[in-house]
Amino acid sequence: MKTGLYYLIILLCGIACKSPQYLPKPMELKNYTKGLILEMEVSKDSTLIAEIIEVGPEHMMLLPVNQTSPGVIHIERNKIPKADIIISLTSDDPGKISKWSGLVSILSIGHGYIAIFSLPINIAAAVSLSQDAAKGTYRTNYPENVPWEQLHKFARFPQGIPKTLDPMVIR
Amino acid sequence: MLTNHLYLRLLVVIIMIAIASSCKYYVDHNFRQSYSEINKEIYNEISSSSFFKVHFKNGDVGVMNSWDLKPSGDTLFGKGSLYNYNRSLIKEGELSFDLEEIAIIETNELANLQSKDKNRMTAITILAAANLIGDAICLTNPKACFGSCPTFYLEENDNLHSTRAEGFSSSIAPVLERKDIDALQYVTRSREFHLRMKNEALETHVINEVFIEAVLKNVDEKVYADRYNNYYRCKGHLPPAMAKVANRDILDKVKAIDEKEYFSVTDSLDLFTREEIYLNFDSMPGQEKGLVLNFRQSLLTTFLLYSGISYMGDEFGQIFANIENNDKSRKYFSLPYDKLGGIKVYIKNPDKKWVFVEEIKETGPIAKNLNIIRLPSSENGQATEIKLELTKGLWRVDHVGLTTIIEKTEALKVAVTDIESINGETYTPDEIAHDDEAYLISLPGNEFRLKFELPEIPRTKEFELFLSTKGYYLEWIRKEWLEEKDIAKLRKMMTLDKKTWRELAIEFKSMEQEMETVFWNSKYTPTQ
Repeated sequence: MKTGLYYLIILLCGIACKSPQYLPKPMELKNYTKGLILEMEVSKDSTLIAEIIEVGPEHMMLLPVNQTSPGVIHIERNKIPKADIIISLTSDDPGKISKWSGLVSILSIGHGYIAIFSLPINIAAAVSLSQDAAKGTYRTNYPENVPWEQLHKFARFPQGIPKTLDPMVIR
Repeated sequence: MLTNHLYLRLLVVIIMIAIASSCKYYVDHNFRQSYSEINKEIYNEISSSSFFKVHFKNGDVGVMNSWDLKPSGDTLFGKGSLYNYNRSLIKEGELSFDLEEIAIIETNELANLQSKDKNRMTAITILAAANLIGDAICLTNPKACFGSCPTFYLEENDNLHSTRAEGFSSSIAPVLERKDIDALQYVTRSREFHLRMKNEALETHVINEVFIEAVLKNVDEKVYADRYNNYYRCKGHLPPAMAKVANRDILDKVKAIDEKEYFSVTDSLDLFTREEIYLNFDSMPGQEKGLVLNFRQSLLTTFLLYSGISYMGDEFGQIFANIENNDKSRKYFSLPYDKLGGIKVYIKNPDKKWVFVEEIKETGPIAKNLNIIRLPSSENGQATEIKLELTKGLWRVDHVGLTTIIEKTEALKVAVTDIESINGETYTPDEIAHDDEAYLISLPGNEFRLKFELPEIPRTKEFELFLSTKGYYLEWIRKEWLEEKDIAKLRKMMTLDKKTWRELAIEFKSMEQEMETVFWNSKYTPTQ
């Protein structure tokens, strides 16, 4: 049972604590040249997560992160009442944090019966730390903290998509 | 106590809450600035930046680490990287651009966007420290965390590592009630002797009989008991001249009764894997010799016992009743423990062949057992070669020595004359004086001080004391064990099914090092 439990913790942690691949780590920000990520609630069950390609006075061009084929989508300004702009992860090495916090939680095995109480605390702390490392993000939010007029600086093409470039070849 | 099912649900809820916890750090958007009036801004704004990004009209972007302007003022040059519109690297190193090609220059202040890993590692360190404190508590009083059977202490010692005896360690049910004799490794000439008997585990101890077996001896002699509870007066003690396991020298671990022990770890896939210890002794006087062995078990049997009980689930009582009434069942359930075996002792005969002498075993991971094994008679002055065969990871061998047996002797049975209840019900000595229907019941946390009165003896003599106990203990079945009921697996375990035992080996291996380290290293020098 104990071994199963530990495998369960590691498995849950592994699943839950997987970092989004589309976000840069802090150490990668210097050389990161793509647009930042816009996260917007489309409906109660649906969230749009997309790279900001271009921001015009009344529209935004986005490249959804889960889109496999090239090409951007066009969204009118009035369809974006509020959104988060995700800058980066907050960890350079989420795997290391996950590994160490997991190992520390396994120290509970040395607690014998007390592990009944210490194990959940350890798991909560370990999962929370792993989760924060894997999915913690730096972000800013529109419109509370950044006006529309400033959003263009977070786009891949802050100057706008070049006229010579077909938006449908952008990936 | 939470049920296993409820406990797992609680854990899942905790994990889900932790997963759902928000990890969003909002920062000021001004960390990034962009400038489109290149000629005006390029001097004012980017001169202090360690790097900046150049967005070109054609959609390319350059990351510049060092830069300057040509004297003509129309060309930016320096070192950096150039990417195309899909942000694939085009060029790295020396770059040069016409200012006319540049659409926007971007600067980034990243001081507030640093990795938080350092803070997280600090939190992990604090968490580890808290866990180690928990481990330390268990190190100080392991039974509070792990549990075992009744323990006995001399008056002046009261921590687990000075336990002098574990009473009836293998008697985990009424049917298994039996007498157990342990050497207290204590000699005295006093008329009074006291022992403290404690229940430090989640168990009910049902004690039928407790008495001291006092063996009279000369001051320069020792008394040892064999596995059949015969006593031998012995003289002289010889440590081995050589002790090896697989050509590895372990002499330092086994040469004396001390805190150093030899032990190995279990095989990763086969808990029945055995190993051999080879010992050479120089010659010592006398024809009747005995091999003195001080040893105890690892936590492997505890693990197997708990696994077996958990597979029994709510049929635990029924199965044990069956064991009680049925010899065949009893043999069936002892099969794995028989196969794990004890410590087999072999001696090399004059023909240089190994001859089996005896197999010795004693259940319990806490108190060491000091026993003697009578060796076949040998010629006076002859060196002795011994081989011990034992299951890997099952035994901890503290000492192996040779002694000369003077004679077999008898012990004086000394009953308890007073029971002081330090914590627990009040009992009279009668209740543990005889093997009868009267019992002393000891619950978790109970402690009793037992008084024994010894007869007066000549000044040249002293008593070597042994503790004799009879009873059984009932493990408090954790509710979560009931949820693990798996009779099919229990059957496979008892019939030595290879796959089941392989799974048990893997499960034990995953916790062996941690269990053993935490349990033992508080006082003893690590030996492996």
